[in-house]
Amino acid sequence: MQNYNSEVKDEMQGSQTWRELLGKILQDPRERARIAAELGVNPLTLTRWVNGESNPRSQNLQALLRALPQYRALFLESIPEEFGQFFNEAVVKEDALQEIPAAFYARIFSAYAELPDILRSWSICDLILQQALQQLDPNRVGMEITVVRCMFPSEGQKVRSLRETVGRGTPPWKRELQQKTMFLGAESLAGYAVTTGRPAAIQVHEESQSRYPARWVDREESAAAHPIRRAGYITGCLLFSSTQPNYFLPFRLALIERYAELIVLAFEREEFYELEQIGLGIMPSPSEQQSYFSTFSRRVTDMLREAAMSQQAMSIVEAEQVVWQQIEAELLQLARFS
Amino acid sequence: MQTPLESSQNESAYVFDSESAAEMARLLDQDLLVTKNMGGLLAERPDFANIQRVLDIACGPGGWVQEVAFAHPEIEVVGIDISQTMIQYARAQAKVQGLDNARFLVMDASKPLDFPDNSFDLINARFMISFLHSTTWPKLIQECRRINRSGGAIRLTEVENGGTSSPGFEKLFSKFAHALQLAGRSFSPEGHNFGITPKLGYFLREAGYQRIRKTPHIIDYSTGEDAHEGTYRDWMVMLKVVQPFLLAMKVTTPEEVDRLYQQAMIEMRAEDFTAISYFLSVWGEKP
Repeated sequence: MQNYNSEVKDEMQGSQTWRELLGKILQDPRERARIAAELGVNPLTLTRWVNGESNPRSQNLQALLRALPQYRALFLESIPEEFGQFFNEAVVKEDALQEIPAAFYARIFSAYAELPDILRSWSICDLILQQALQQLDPNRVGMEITVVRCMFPSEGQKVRSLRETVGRGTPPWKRELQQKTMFLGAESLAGYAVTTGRPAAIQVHEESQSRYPARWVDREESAAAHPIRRAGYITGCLLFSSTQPNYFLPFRLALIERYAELIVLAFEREEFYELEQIGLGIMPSPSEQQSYFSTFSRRVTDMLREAAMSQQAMSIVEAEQVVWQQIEAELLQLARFS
Repeated sequence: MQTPLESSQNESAYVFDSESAAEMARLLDQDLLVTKNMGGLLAERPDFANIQRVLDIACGPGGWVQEVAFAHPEIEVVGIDISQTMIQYARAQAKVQGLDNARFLVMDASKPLDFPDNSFDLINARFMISFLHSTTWPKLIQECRRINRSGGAIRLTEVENGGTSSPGFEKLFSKFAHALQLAGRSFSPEGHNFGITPKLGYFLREAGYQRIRKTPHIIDYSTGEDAHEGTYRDWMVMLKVVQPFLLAMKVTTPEEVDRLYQQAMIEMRAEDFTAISYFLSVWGEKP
């Protein structure tokens, strides 16, 4: 270790600034790709910093220190020369950025305690997706986060599928909160996380064949799923997609775990299932599923109209749940025949 | 937290519970949706040329401020809001994104603004109808002119209901517009709409702004349109959080408002639901 550090020191002696030191490190193309992924920036951005064509934000500099711990002392000698004392102060605060901010925890607990039933779950999911996206993809290199839920099982049956319910992203994915519709089964990364109760991450697209099941979407280079657990019971998972390979590094996976714990507050106790109650089938491909969703609104409206005609009380949430169950049964049937 | 009854008496009050977590999430979603439909962060000057310092009034959780700060690291962007909770949340969000050029301050927009003269190149404000008393508008615009730099600009954006096919929604919206009128926050003589958009150009002209330009925008949130889901959720939250205000203004009863809310939510989900929101942005320059 001492020899290694002295090599680094030697390297630094020939380098007058942190930019020059970074330039030398980036001469290794693999290291360049790794650092870019860890910082969540385009490799070209690193080159611009080296050439002095642009400046990193303080958060980028902090991430650079995390990505290159062996060079930390050397960077800390030279970075403040250019960026001043504020950088040292920022480094002290660095640990705090790897945790969910207290102001955000406060918002979620406030939502949990104060909101009426009709708004609680949606608002908590919305706030958590907003915040998780800002914290996990601050440079907006491309991430999507989706809440995936166990489908409510029929009486005496197991949970047979999962459904993407709501999601949001940074470009190339849509930034607005979206209601999602796709059903997932044992063929998916989300299915793996839910049926095993364990988190899973695929760091490089090509790995998918050998390690975990996955259905990739366009531009997705790495993915992670973390089960949403409460006392050993599961209601679904948080699913993350990134445009960058190797994006789900340990510190991001640790944050994902915190968010998966927090989102438990969005769901009722009876929406969680024992692992033994979950037996996922295989779901048809997204393109095959699509035609089944086009009639969703009409079917819900018809169901509400029929309920009103027969003097039965039925809320829109109940009607939607029944229609989703009907569509799930149709899709499982389709998958069985194909 | 302000109660609805206080809000009818307090000029700076918000007709919604502005500290509500649901309202906070809604405002962040609304920011994205509206910015997209307005053609970007500043369609009037997309490159932000000659703009170094920006103020966003009633910034809420700071969505627009953060977007500008991210897109233009060289610009200092300041957001002000009366809610301490909103500002704390906005600061936390800016911090996790490393937005060193975004700053958030607690400030009441209905009172003199705590900035020196000639402080900002651009002042932006959206949807102030929800908290500003009708008599306060001219005073605030005068304050904006004072803190605007010479050659700088102001942009105000407000909304009106463009109409929907849902009887439940229309009845509920009429009650909302009527309650706003009773609370002194509407410019509609009959209380059928907000009536604020025709006033914006007049306010700017009266305050001494010049080269006033108006840009209309619409959001079609009919079923099947891109904006349907987001706007449906926006109304779902807003029509719920506004209910205490409607009851306090005595324009409805708990039973009626609950029935109309359920009816509107069902009708807005129908395949043949059609709806349009209408926005107007008014831009003025300080000579």
